Amino acid sequence: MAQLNRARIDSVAEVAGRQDPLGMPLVVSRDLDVTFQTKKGRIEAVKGLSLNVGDGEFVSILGPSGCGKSTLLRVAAGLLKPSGGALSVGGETVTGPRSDVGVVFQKPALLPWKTVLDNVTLPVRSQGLNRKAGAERARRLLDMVGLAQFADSYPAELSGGMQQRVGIVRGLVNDPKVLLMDEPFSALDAMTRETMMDDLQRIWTETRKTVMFITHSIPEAVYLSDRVIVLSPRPARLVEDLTIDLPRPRTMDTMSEARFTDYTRHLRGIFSHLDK
Amino acid sequence: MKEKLTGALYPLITFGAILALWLVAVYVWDVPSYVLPKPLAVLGALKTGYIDGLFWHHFFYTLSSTAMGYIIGCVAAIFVGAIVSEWRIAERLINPLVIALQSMPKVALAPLILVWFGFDQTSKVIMVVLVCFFPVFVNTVVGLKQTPADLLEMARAANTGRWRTFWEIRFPSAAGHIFAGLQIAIVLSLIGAVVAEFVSSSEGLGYLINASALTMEVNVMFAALVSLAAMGVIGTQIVRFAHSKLVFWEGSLAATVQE
Ligand SMILES: Nc1ncnc2c1ncn2[C@@H]1O[C@H](COP(=O)(O)OP(=O)(O)OP(=O)(O)O)[C@@H](O)[C@H]1O
Ligand SMILES: [Mg+2]
Repeated sequence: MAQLNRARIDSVAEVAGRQDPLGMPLVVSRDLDVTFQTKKGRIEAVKGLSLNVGDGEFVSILGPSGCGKSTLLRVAAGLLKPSGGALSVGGETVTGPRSDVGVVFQKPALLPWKTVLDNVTLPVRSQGLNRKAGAERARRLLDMVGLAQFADSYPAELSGGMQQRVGIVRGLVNDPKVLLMDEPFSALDAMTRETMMDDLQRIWTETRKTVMFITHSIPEAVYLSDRVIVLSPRPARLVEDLTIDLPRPRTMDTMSEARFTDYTRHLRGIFSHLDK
Repeated sequence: MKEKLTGALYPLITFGAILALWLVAVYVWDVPSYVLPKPLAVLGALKTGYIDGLFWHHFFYTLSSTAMGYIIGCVAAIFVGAIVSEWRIAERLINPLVIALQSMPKVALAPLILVWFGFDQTSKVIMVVLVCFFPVFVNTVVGLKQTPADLLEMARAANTGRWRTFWEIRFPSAAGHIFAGLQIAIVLSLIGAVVAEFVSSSEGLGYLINASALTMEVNVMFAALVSLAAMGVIGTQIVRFAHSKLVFWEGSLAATVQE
């Protein structure tokens, strides 16, 4: 428990300058502000948010609903311009969508009129990359998530979990450095979620992407991550930056280990404070 | 298979009832034949018309005016609709015109079009173009605007350019709406062609109806009407077939499995 408390102190005091143990930070957010102008007035979604994600690191982001998690992710994806501060990937400030950043959305967002393979290779076509190489990579990735024989099927012929796997493969098809995931499993049932968690862990182990993973589920975050970041209610600020020190590969047994439950209990405690 | 048989049964019942009523009107109530011809007289008119060949000319005249106008009108509507939904300036320029013309009954323009474009087939084709344009245009714009936001955001994140976003995402997403417009346009195009022929023509099924009204040949009028109905039904079926084949993802999967 002492270790956890120290992590908490670290996070508040020196996260901005913190050097990641796994390498140079690949994603760096500095004093990020995002303000929306609406008819009812200004909404501050993110305020002075500083955090970083190391190269090859799997970082989950937890926070109450509506706190600004998706907003943060959209800035990282180049879909939204921040109103203050900056977010950089690989040392370059993000100003628009980039080919070295892949995005996986909450809904799979597949095109019903395209086959699985054509859906997955949309980023390849869009960025004018070699289609043959792209299709080969796509088939390899589909094979990795157990969908090899569905390459020529249409999305309507797949289950929800399979569709979300197609969405993940599409996010990976350009071999990005960073994979951004916005609650990719939230629409799935509990059983499917668990298999998807294992699939994602396997994909991550095999590809070693840097992952920013937004979720509402504390166990999911602890299970998958090297670090878990907790954001405050709107406007999003950083309230916790917790390193998860559990051996990999993690299995369903990991979830019943004492250290796992320590982490989840600790995070739950933070959440109950946030609500007050 | 059984589904299909019962499916065909209901229209047969309806038509059987109408035919029975018709027979009763003619043979029991003695409605005079210059008001309502006997079914056999209509069949006779159809037979002499199409076998002796007099009708074919009128049939193809109307068919070609309708088909040409339909194709030109629908293609133009989809094209202009795409431009309007892609460029805001185009939308602002074209919308006032569309709103003004849309609420006007287009058939009222028929005499003017004849004055402008002469009395030959061109004026009929233009009438059909005008009538077809609006439903297809409106549906194209609405369809393109209703492209799901999550698909567009996904495309933006993937750096999909405007052109590719249009062809791979917006246009297919609007296809169902566009086909609904094409369906409406079939019926309207026939109306347009017939009205233009009513106003002034010496050919076409519309002319045939007009001419036989003057000579009180009601059976010929009925035969021409049956021909027009057949044209409409076949046209609608063609569009419906194309719709289900081209926009295959919108037909519910369950329905195709059942068959
Ligand atoms: N385009 C927008 N215009 C105006 N306000 C917005 C917009 N996008 C988000 N917001 C507001 O910003 C806040 C944060 O939204 P965001 O979607 O980032 O939350 P979130 O943490 O992802 O929530 P959830 O967990 O429910 O997905 C919300 O209050 C939302 O209403
Ligand atoms: Mg969200």
